[in-house]
Amino acid sequence: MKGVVFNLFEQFVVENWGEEIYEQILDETTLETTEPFVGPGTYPDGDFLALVVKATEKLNVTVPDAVRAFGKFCFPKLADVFPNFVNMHTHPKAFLKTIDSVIHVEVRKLFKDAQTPSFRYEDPSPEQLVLIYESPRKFYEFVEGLLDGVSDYFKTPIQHSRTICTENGQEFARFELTFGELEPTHS
Amino acid sequence: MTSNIADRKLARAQKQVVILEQMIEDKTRELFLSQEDLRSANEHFESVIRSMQDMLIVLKPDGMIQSVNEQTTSLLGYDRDDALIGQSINILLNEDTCFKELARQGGNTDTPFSQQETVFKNNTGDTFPVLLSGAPLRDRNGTSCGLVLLALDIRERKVLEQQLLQAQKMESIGQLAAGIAHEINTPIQFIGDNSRFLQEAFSELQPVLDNAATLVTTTNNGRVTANTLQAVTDAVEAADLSYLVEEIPKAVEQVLEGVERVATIVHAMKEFSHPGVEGKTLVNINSIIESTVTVSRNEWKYVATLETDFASALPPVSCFSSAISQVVLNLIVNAAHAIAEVIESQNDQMGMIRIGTCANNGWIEIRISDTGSGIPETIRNKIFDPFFTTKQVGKGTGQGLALAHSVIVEKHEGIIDVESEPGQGTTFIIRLPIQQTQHSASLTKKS
Ligand code: HEM
Repeated sequence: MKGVVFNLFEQFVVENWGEEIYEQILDETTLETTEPFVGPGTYPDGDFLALVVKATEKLNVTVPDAVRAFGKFCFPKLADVFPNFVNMHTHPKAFLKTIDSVIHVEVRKLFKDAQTPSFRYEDPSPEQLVLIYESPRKFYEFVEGLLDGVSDYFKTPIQHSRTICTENGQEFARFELTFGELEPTHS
Repeated sequence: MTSNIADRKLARAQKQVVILEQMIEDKTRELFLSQEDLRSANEHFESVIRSMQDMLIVLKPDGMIQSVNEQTTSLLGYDRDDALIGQSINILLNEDTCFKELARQGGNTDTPFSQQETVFKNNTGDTFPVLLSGAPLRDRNGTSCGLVLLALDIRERKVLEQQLLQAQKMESIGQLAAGIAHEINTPIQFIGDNSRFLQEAFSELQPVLDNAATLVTTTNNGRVTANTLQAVTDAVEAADLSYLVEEIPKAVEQVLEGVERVATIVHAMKEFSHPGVEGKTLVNINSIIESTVTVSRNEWKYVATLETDFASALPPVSCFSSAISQVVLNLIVNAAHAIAEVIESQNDQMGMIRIGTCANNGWIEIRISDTGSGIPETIRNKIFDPFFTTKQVGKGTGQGLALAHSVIVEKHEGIIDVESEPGQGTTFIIRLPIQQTQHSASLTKKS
């Protein structure tokens, strides 16, 4: 997992529960990594999971809820760092369709060793989109959180349901998305 | 605790800076090394292209020259490559091989073209033959962004080809010589026999003429006697005059026939062995075939009868007549060999070789068929390959049909085809275009 994600996680905890809690989590978690995380570095996935698990214990929330909340927190931050990926779209559907063919491609160029998931798409109707997510990490709640973040960012409601499927022993998730009306900017 | 946290964060941040600096240094080094790799890969490619003996020309989609290798510059007589870069490729091509045509052949279509014969113009306007191949240049997404041309200077090869053809011709003439001598010998022999008969006939006529002369003189001076008259009657009887009167004109006719036969053979021989003028000439295909049949008579007459069925109003065709007659000879000799094989193995009687010509739809067609053993399906697609032969060692070099193919297809943009029924015989079909199409004339030959 890239250092950026660890740093976003730090921000997530600090902004919601304060610096002290984050330092405690860091102290109480056994990590493989001994140095501080830096954005371009690559660290074991296990370290990230250990931090998440420790945080949920301390904060008394479930792992899925925590990961979902983290995803929602991450999206605007990522959009801030890479405004070009987001700016050219007004509707989340068109934007989401670029994750696999543009955004994560660029991410892999910028971050050596980045392991981005694979997304396939089905486009059944103008207000719907099916996102087929496949990754050995199976971060289903993270995807859901990101989708909520995307919905907020584009001020467009996105309803999503998830189905886990297996094909040839490979597990993947189908997210069926329905987009609502664009919310008016002024009420 | 708060100051403690601040200290910890500061310590972390300081470490992070060190790590990030280290990463930047690593990246910089990596960048430097990969630039070095790139540079040396580039140099490697450049030196490969420089040492190429072929001319390599890269065109932009509009036909402007984007780059050339050194060989191109030097073979075309320019001293610097930038004399060519930015110019239209049309400065190297002549009017009918213009870029439009090239683009049609390779640039704008997905099919690359290879080994087309055409000519290049050098900086003084002189042309020389080249073999040109081209393929669309594609970018990463597969869209065509130009045309890559590879041209091979074939001046030397052209000369060698010409020499090879001539050598084959000489070889054929050598092989045919004994047969031709035999062909000439037969009429010469009966010219001789008839001449000897005429000589004898004349010596038998001599006494008749002498006595007749005496009769004339004695009649004139009034001293004619019964004896003189009797002498004439005796001489006429002795000479068997009625026989001579009947036979002498026949003998003369046979002598003249013989002389004509020899003259035909000599004429055919001359036409066949003519080294061939440079370039194509307008010729009558029927007369080329006729001569070839004549010179090769001894090769087929023991195994086959040969029938010709020539279209009477065949339009003249522009061709290398010497090369065409060589092709016809090769096919006749092959036909005779195929028939001989059948005769040998099945104790069969004489076979048949048929040669026909006709003109249709802008083509002249020559069909040469035999009643030989036929060509098995399995080898039919190999027969035009160089060195392919089914004949015994020493009997065939495997060049005959390969030569036929190169002469018909490459030199004349024609077609050579074969139809064969094993056990029944084989027909070779040659089609020559009466008029060359715009496109083939521009891209395929200029010799
Ligand atoms: C500006 C937009 C985005 C940027 C810059 C971005 C960047 C990244 C980066 C840097 C990673 C980490 C890869 C690694 O650590 O090896 C990542 C992972 C991931 N991204 Fe994105 N991403 C963006 C949008 C999205 C969106 C909209 C989704 C889904 C709705 C998404 C789904 C994921 C998931 C699920 C992962 C976790 C890795 C996995 O599941 O294997 N990303 N992305």
